[in-house]
Amino acid sequence: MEDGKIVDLYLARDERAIIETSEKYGKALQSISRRIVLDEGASEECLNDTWLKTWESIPPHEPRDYLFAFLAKITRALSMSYCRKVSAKKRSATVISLSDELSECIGDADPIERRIDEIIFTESINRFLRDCSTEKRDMFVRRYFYMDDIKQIAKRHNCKESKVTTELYRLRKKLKKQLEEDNIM
Amino acid sequence: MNGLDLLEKMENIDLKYIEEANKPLEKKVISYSRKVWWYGAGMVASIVIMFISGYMVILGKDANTQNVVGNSGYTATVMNSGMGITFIIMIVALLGAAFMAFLMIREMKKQKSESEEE
Repeated sequence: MEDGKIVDLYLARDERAIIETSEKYGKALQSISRRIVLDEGASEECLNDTWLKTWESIPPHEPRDYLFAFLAKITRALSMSYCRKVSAKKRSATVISLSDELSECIGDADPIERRIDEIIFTESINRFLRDCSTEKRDMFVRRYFYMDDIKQIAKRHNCKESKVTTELYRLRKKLKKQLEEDNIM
Repeated sequence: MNGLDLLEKMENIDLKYIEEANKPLEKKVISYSRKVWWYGAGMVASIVIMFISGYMVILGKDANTQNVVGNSGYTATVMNSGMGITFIIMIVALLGAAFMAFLMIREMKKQKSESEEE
């Protein structure tokens, strides 16, 4: 079923919307969650919570053009939230390694003195992505939003893993510079 | 703030970029410039010259003949090819072909990396 029609079902408060969404995007969303929480039971719980949150969010939102992205955001947020609650030892290796990578983008200033304005950060990160080439933007989003590993990204781009590693390193440096210029970090 | 906070904040990425990254990538078609075609033509021409001159060398077309008279009065005709001009042309053509191939591959790599930068 097309995304537009699925959204129409949500707007009509028809429960078939959840069934259709689950059939179309359930597996993809669960794989995103699994990569973060590293637990089958927890990922199913996150998925169920995703359906509930989606039901509550549509309306007012009407993501006809970006339904999967909308759902992926919800699933990711719920999974990250679960990840925060578990102890550091139980966090997935993927989350730990990605956190370590992104810590390179954070400056040395005292975090207590710096506070993050959500809107400024959103503008900054999207401006950063807008200025990247399509290929580099894809690598960044696949790595730090979808949490793909380097091998998967290299396969997607039909290039060597070393190239992906180098590009991501350069992108993190560029992001750090931008966040410092925007006085976020 | 730590890396985990920043990783969490990546959820603020615009929906259109998230959706774009979910789609299969389009395969890029690289069109090579005229330079690559000229280098390729040069390489082919060099190979043709190499084969023609090589063929002439093998058949002894550039050979110098020498009559050698033996003790018993028997005259033998010896073909002395040596390092005739045809042989030199063959070697130069071989080196030329190799050089053109090198230039062509270098230009193709350069154009591929430029299109990836875009």
